[in-house]
Amino acid sequence: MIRRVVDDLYQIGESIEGTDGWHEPVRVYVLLNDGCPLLFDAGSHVHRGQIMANLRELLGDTPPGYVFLTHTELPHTGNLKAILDAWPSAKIVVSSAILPYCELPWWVTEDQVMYGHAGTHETYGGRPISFLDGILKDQPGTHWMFDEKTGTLFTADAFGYFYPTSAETLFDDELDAGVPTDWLRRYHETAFRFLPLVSAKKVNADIDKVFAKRNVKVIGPTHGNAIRHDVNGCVTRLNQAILEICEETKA
Amino acid sequence: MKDNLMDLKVYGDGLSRVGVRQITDKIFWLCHCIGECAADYNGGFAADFARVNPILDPDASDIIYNSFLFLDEKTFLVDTLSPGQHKTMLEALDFILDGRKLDYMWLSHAELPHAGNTAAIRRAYPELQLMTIGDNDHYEVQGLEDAILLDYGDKVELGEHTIEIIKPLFVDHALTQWFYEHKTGFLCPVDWALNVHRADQCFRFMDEMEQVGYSAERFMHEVSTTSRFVFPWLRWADAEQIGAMVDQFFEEYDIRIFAPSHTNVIRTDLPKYMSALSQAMRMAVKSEYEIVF
Repeated sequence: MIRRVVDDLYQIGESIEGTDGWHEPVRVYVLLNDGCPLLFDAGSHVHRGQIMANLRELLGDTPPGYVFLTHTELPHTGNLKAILDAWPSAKIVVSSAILPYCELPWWVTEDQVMYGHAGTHETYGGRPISFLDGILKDQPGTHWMFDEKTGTLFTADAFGYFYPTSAETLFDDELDAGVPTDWLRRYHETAFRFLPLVSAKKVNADIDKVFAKRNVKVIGPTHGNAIRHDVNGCVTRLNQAILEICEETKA
Repeated sequence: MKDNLMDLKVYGDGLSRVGVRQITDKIFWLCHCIGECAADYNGGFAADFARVNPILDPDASDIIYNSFLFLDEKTFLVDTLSPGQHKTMLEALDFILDGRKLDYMWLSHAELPHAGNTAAIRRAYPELQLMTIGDNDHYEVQGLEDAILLDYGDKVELGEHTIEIIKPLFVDHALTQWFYEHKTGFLCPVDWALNVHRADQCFRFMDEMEQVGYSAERFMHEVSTTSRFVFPWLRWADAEQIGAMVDQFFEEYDIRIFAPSHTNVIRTDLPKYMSALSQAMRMAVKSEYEIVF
């Protein structure tokens, strides 16, 4: 399903319903960017047909210029081949921390790949995108990216959440009280198995540093719907979820 | 072929090459690294590491990617290497299996360097049973919807060898599992203990690395440095808690073959290297982390 988040930022991608009835979304974000669309992650192979149909509808005759991968696990790259088969001129942008000969599909050629270096910003199709380290991540070569124009921070797995069926298409402002702590907790305790071994205070301090450094207006998690209304409230609830996971598991 | 590593057989070259070494009469090591290409393809990380810790070798840019194959009454493959090695991995498997079928393919976790050839190997050996860790959900997005789900403590009987699934101490991806094999004391701790090597040190057991200038002390310093990248969450951990956890683990398991995914296989002098590893993890937690926020 195509949903407009803000300005020229759109969200597509579907979800997987678990055996317990909770959904895990796998999103692709699209910045239309006035003739040179930018995609963030490629979506799951499970949802290939719907994603490609949505992309064709959204992009029309305009091929995407760049596909930014937050990291290279299958839920983020599973639809990459279909995208590049459809639009072979698109470039892939990955973290400079990955080794492409082992961490990208074998059919990706060297001239298709560009690297984002944490601490830098580059212009893609006239649009400045800055790169930072993935702060909370499950693969070393994960980076977070920031679109200065919309104020969107693409956070890969972090800020993901599981939701019930009723929330499938809803942004935070369309929920009664934003994304609940419980939904964030359900995802993060599953995705980041190391959290019981760490200090919640330190994790949250690092997350807070990211938001203190830039004016984030939208959070784009791959495994959640975009947070476009109450970013600070969502960060606070994530902080609480992290605290609960770290401390209660230890107890 | 390296003439001083008598049993080494290498398939392919450059970015796709896979070497095969024999660990025991029934356990084989399938190892990918890129040798001379590392200087160009691995982005100078060794020099970066050496800037952080001057004890490290600025020319040691090559990283190992390991898979292991047990040839028992049942055959058991540990991880798949990455898609870039799909042809050479299949050639190496064909050589070792020598006409036998592949019964099990155990995935340590669902990242490309570990599971990226799952589809290719399944096509070549369609009867195999895929194994991943249980207690999760949404396996479809990982391509694991038909895998056998294992729990910590489960045992897979291969014949002489018994694979016990154990809870990993150090994880990145959520679907990570380790295993311990009881007959041989073979531990596969997956991403833990990543070390590096130079282009003249490829395909070597750790005791053979010592013949070309490597040491347990070097191992300790390398792992203390690489762990900051592999497990960046260590910066939020407590050094003594992590160290105690490692020491308790070593007391619990009689490790005689230490076989991670990105480390030279250690088959001799285990106490020396495990002691170095314990110290390395404490050092890793206490180190300075350069994070771009």
